[in-house]
Amino acid sequence: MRKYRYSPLAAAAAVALAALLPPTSPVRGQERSVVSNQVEVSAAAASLRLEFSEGPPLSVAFADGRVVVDGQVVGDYEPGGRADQAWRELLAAVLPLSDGPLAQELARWSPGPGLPEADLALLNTVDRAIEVAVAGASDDPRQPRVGRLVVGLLEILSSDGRFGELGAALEGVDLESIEVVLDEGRVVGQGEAVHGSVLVAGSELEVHGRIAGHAILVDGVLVLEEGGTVEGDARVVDGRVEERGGTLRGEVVRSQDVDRVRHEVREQVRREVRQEVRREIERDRSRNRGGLLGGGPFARALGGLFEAVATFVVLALAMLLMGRIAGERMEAVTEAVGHNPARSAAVGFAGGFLMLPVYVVGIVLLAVSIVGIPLLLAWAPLFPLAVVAAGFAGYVGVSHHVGRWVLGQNLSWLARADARNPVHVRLAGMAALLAPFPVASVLGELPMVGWTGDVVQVLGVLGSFAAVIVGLGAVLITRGGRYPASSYAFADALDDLGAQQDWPDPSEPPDAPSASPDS
Amino acid sequence: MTIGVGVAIGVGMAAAIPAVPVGAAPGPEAVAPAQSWKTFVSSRQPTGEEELRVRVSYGAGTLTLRQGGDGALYRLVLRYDEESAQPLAEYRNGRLRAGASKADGRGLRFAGFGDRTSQNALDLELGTDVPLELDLAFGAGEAELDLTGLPIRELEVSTGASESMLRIDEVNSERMELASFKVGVADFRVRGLGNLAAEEVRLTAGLGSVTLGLDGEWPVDARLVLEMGLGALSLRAPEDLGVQIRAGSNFLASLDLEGMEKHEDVHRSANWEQAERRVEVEVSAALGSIELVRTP
Repeated sequence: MRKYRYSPLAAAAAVALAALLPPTSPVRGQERSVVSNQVEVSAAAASLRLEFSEGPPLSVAFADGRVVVDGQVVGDYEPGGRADQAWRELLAAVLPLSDGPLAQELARWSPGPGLPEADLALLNTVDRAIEVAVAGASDDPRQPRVGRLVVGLLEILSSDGRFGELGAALEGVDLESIEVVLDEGRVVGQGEAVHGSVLVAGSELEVHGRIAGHAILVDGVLVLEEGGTVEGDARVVDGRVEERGGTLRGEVVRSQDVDRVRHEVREQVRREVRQEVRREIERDRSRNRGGLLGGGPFARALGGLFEAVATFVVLALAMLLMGRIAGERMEAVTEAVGHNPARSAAVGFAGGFLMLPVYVVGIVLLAVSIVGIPLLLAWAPLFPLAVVAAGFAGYVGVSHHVGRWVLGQNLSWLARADARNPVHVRLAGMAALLAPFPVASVLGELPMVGWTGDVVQVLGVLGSFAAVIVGLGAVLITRGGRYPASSYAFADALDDLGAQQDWPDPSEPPDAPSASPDS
Repeated sequence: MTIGVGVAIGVGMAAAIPAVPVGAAPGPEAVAPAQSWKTFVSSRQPTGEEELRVRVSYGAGTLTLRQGGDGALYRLVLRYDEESAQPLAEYRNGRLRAGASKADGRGLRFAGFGDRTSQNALDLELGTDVPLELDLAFGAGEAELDLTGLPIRELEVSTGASESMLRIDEVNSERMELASFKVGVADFRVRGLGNLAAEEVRLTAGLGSVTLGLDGEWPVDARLVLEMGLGALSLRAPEDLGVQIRAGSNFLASLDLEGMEKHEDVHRSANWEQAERRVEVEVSAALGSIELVRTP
């Protein structure tokens, strides 16, 4: 006996043959082993998926008004209707079962009597799909016949060298649910629904009912009778389409058209991929270019160093300019930072949060008042500038204290810096605040420990942010440096004095009683 | 049909097929709209697997694990809100991944099930014919893990903020080198630890209450390494079990060891020398209480 290996077409042919049987015909042959079963049930959907010891799986889903078998829509149902209810009854019945008993129960199931005609036809379609799947193509005694059909199809195709055309016509078609018809012809009767595609070779396909997939013709004829519907395309390798009042939702696609469309799609995809790759390469190049020094890690590290130095120079110039313009006020801000950094930080935080609302409210108030409109022209650009200037002034104030600490370390390479010169002190502090950034650039390019660069970078950003916040607070406390911190120091001293009067220092010995009871 | 399956289905199918005994046909109410709850049932028959690796990642809800009774490799019933979670039941080459992930497909982070957490449920039954490697991770909710009768080669349990009960009523037919428990902020109880047949049991607990029942067969002498953060650890040991407890040098928690004698730097039960089964316990704790209670 000749043996045939499993193929999707063979399985599809088995499905097709089974579909031709009367709805009540029992499927002969032994049930296949059900290796896995999945049931999903919700208010909107109820589905079953079975995997077998061999062969393709089966999935049946009643979801959102549509019944889908192996990915193909086979019909519509009314959620909560009789068909839905019957399907859920089946799921409830098979839920505790597995393997043999499950297969037997599924094979035994058939839609109950008394169902409306449409529901009955739908459930019969589902029933046939389940029975065929459970029976298994490989165990089906009709397999030799299937084998002959496949051989026949191959003979037709090989005679004209049409394998390539068939491949194009089958593109996108679910081969596991395709129905293959050879020689004898196929009539899709009125009310009948074929859930997959139908391939007709050397014969005629007459449609009175509905084909959910495509009609594929290999030396065949598609006849669309009145009321008949093909939801997909009529894909013609060789043959013709006769429309007698039926409906073809898709298009008549000749094999050459399929080839052309496929070729165009491939070319389009190829072009897009090529462009994307080109863009990616360009991005890489621009990333690695790194200016005049090339794109190596050394150059990137050096670039980071230069950036930090340039930033330092710009900030230093701005600091010198600010010292010239508002030297005394800078002293007041610096003093405030040193006098009470915690209070400065708190005020800076609050001020920072309030800046934007104040800015927006100011714009609104000036805009709604006619007299304020000229002021608005000044408010809109100058307020942000004032905020930036205040932040920078505070930054310089913090730099002063940082610089004082740095110079206090008596580092030999800083011996030439004069700790009594405020410019030297502030430059040293500014350099210390900026130092993490070039260090991060260098560390970031080192192999294996590149992540430490990110850590140092974050620390640097946090340090600078804290400096700006504290400095901004100091600027606000001193009203822009107009009220020196010494006045606040005096006020605090008064506060402290008052506190001491209320709460005696516990370190001192208790006072002697003012008078004895006897006295 | 096993009781477990019945319970699972009774819980799991309630949304879509309510009040329907398994195997019986549901009434018209079976198709009534029922929020967005979904029930997912999956089972698989053994097909020559030499072992089954099970990884459960379950965010919040009720997790139940037990042996199955119908010869299946596994069977799981998952009830979840389909708007916020996706079921996970992947099986491939002897590996099963089960649980629920967020519906946006962001992987297996513990899902945010909102205020309907208590209605989520995962019921997993495992077969007894194939040796198991279990990796169970679950977050908030309740977990009842009955490992009785399961042939377990490896066990790793990670729990977040949950109330968990693990029991082993029969001795494990397999032997394992290490059983690992990582407990976050949880109430974690174990019964029948001696039936686990593990040479070493490691427990790391963050914050909460841990109760370890040292009852069971103890087919091999075992070593318990317990690291407690902040919380209460209660060891419940049968009277005939030889127990030795060594507290870490940084041990700051209160120690209440019933019937133990101090020998240099360890505490030993009076029957340590003659006991047929012995367990060595190493405890380190940051802050909390540790007690040993002898049970008949």
